[in-house]
Amino acid sequence: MTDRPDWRKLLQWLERTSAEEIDCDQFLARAAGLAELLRDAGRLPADAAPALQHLTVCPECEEEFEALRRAVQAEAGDDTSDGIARNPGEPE
Amino acid sequence: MDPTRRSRSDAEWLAGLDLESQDHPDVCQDLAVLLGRSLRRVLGDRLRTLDLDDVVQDSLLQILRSRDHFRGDSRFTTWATAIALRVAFTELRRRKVREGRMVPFDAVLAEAAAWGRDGSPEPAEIVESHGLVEALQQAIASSLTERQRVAILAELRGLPTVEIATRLGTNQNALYKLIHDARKKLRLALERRGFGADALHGFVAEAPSR
Ligand SMILES: [Zn+2]
Repeated sequence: MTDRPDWRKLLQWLERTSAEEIDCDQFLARAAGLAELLRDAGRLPADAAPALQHLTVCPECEEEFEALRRAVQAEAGDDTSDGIARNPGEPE
Repeated sequence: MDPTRRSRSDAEWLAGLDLESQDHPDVCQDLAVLLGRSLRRVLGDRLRTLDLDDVVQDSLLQILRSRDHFRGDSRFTTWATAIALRVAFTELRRRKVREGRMVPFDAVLAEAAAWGRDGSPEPAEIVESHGLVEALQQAIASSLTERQRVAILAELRGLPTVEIATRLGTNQNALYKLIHDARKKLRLALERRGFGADALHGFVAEAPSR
């Protein structure tokens, strides 16, 4: 292999490393609730910190969560057009 | 209004997924339609290389197997979509490996072995890190086990965790723990070489985000 590993990326992961972390399955268990909270309230409660930390060191969960957020957002658009949005008028 | 999405409460979805339920076939069919639509919408063109029906069927199986883990902190359908997305992305990543669009795992194995044998095999880094990158290279060479070196280099090379786990004969959660332990060891090794949290933070804050 001739090209260098991306040292900056690894140093970023190290900088974001915590003593205790949740794994990908534990993140997945929370992902749906977090995606809906982000859509409905635009921010996350303090107890979401471990999940957010996981996203900063796990590119795969980050990629999947972004897709989930788009799905949840698109669904909210459908709801609005149906006139049955959960929190009508609430900003993202 | 879409009947597949709106006509059921979470409790009704869950009850209908019960194998004994007389609604089971209808509920599965509706959930399949819903998941297929969500995946198409979010993944669009990327689904071209996958068999959507297979992905949806695999997702349904996983959802059926794990429905007891639904915590009720979202709609059931959002939870199911999260699982389907994991199934779809995992398949997309597997496919990338199969089609040779990733660094081969064997190349990472050889790279990790060289690090273990020869120490950091690279000449001094060109990035201005005031010795941080060099210290990191030394730490990789001397502070990690061979498995940790393989795992962390493979992840850094962008190999999917499903592939790394399979090749290391483990599962993805055990692999996460292996990599997490490796990151903690590297942090400690850097600290011992004089690069504590502040130095790391300073470097990362300066570095362009990926
Ligand atoms: Zn993850």
